[in-house]
Amino acid sequence: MRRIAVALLSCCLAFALPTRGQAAEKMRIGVSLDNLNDPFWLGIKRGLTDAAKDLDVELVIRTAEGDAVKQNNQIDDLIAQGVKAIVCVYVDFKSILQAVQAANKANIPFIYTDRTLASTDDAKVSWGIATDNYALTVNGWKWMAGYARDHKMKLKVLELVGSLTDDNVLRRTDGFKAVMKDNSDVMELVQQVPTEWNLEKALAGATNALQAHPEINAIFMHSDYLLSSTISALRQAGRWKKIGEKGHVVVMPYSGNKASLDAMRQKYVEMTFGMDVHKCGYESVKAAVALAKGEQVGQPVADPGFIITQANFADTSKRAYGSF
Amino acid sequence: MSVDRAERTGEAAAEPAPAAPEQARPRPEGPARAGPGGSGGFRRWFEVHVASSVERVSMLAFAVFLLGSILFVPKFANPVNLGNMLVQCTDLIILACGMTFVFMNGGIDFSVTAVLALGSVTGAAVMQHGGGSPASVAEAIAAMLGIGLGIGALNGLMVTRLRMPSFIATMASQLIFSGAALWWTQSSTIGGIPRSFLAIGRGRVLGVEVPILVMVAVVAACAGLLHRTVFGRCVFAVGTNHRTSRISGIPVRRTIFQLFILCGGLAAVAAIVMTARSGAGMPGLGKSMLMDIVGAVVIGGTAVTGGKGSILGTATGAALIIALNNSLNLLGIEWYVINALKGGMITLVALLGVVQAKGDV
Repeated sequence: MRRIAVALLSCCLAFALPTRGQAAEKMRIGVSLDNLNDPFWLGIKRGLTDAAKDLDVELVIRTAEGDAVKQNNQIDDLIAQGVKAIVCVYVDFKSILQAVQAANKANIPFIYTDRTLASTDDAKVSWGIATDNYALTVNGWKWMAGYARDHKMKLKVLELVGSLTDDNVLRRTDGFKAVMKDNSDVMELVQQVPTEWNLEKALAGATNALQAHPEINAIFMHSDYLLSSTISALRQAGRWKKIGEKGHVVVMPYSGNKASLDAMRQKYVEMTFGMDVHKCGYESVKAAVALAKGEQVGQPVADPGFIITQANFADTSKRAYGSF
Repeated sequence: MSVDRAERTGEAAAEPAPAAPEQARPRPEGPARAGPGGSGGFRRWFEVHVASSVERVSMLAFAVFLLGSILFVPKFANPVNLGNMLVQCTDLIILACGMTFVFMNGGIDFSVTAVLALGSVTGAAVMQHGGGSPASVAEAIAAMLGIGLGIGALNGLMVTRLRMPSFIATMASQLIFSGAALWWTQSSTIGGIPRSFLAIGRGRVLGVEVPILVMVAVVAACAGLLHRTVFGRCVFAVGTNHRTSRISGIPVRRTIFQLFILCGGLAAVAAIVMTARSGAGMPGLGKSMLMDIVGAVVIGGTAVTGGKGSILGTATGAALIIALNNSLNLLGIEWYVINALKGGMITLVALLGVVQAKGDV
């Protein structure tokens, strides 16, 4: 009997949690996120929830934990729950097309946010907003090329790449290569390290690269998420130095989290690529509600982002999610 | 009947020879004894026929959970939601069926996720290279099955011939082959899967989704293999005691070798279904599934020490995990709380198994 009681208790525990009643009068918008394991994603989520609050709609948020199959299953569940639109940060830009097809079949608008997704013949995306990673990377690197010329430097770059299933990563690499091609007198790629957005891989890759190529004097990371690993690797090499100190390495974080802003305040970092993640989250819910009501929305938005430098830090850093 | 456990590598044990294979099968049901009153009789019957087995307790828990979800969780009983859950069970059940056989030998197979990843990208690459023709689809399926069987055979050889613990052998294969998948594709996904292959994941036969039919076939075949064949009796015997089995004339090494091949082969079947449903060959396919697979097997009543297991129990365990995910998602519970609850459930069931095993001594 003790075993039965324990078994039943385990089931009851699940139902001890309060059962949510349906808010019949509120429109329900489904949200499928890649992850919530970083302030970047929490910044997007904040934008989503702020919009939901302003527009008086209910969000049904699911997190795929980086698993593309799980994400598709969760979107199937959202469709079954009768959400009026789906906002998605996809895990994999090929696998997600199955979910888009399922949404199309159910006549539910599908909106991407943060990661651009192109429609195909049988998978139509209704709208989307994402940072134009190519334009932002080009703008940032053009600034850095000018900085290198002014300081008579040649940048020998280590590139820490994210996951190659993320379209944003491919665009950042393309933007970097485009600027490097036109500024080869002040920029050179020494090594590219794939990290799969894994901090241990980033640390190991950066440490090995700095040992193998001591001439590296610049690190371009595809996300601030990798900053802690980068700093650890530089500390191990004795090269985490402030701007102007001997042995200083130019570090270029991407997105604008608190750590990168702190590093800029402490004069370790010259420039950060800034992404308006709150805007991405906010506008995507706004568009989802409009589409669910049958209203027209404009063309998908490619947000240009912004560059945070030491000169404009006081004003521009406020736009970064790391200052929220 | 006490179950004595010889060393997994089959080396001689100092203990006296324990029970013969037939007697080492799961404890048979005893007769229900009538108590002094009706409730006492029911209680006794319940304890003998339900509470005596972790598998049956799990089935009861699943039934209660399902009923509770239908009654109290909004939209859980929606036919579309129930249909989705059934399809979502298919991958986990197929993988867990294979893992059950390995667990029954007291082992584990970490390489199933590597079979998923390498199988997925290999199949997609073959189809892409063949232009999506029917021949390329057949070649892709053959290649994916070959990968699963091959990795399973390698694991079996490492365990039986090199006498490596399954924990180490399969962890090594997982690292090697999942790394190979990532290296080959440079972490990219391979698209261009032809419709004929996608039909395996999204098509229907007589109104039933193909993955469900595959799952039913796998469960039926595995249950028949385990409970109705000489091989199945060998699995129980070897899992209970290697030394006794060897003395009894059971081919211990061959049986263990076959277990790993079976597990690898079923992982390949899951790779086919999952790749078809996802529509792409993914080097990270199923990377987060291992804990759910192990959880399904444990909740289903298979003993982690070997010698005891049930395919139906495993299927129930997998269904309970999927139902838990689904209903708690519907209740708006955060994913990290769901993970904690799953961990708690697995711990509870493992404790039940330990308590029961102590009662058998």
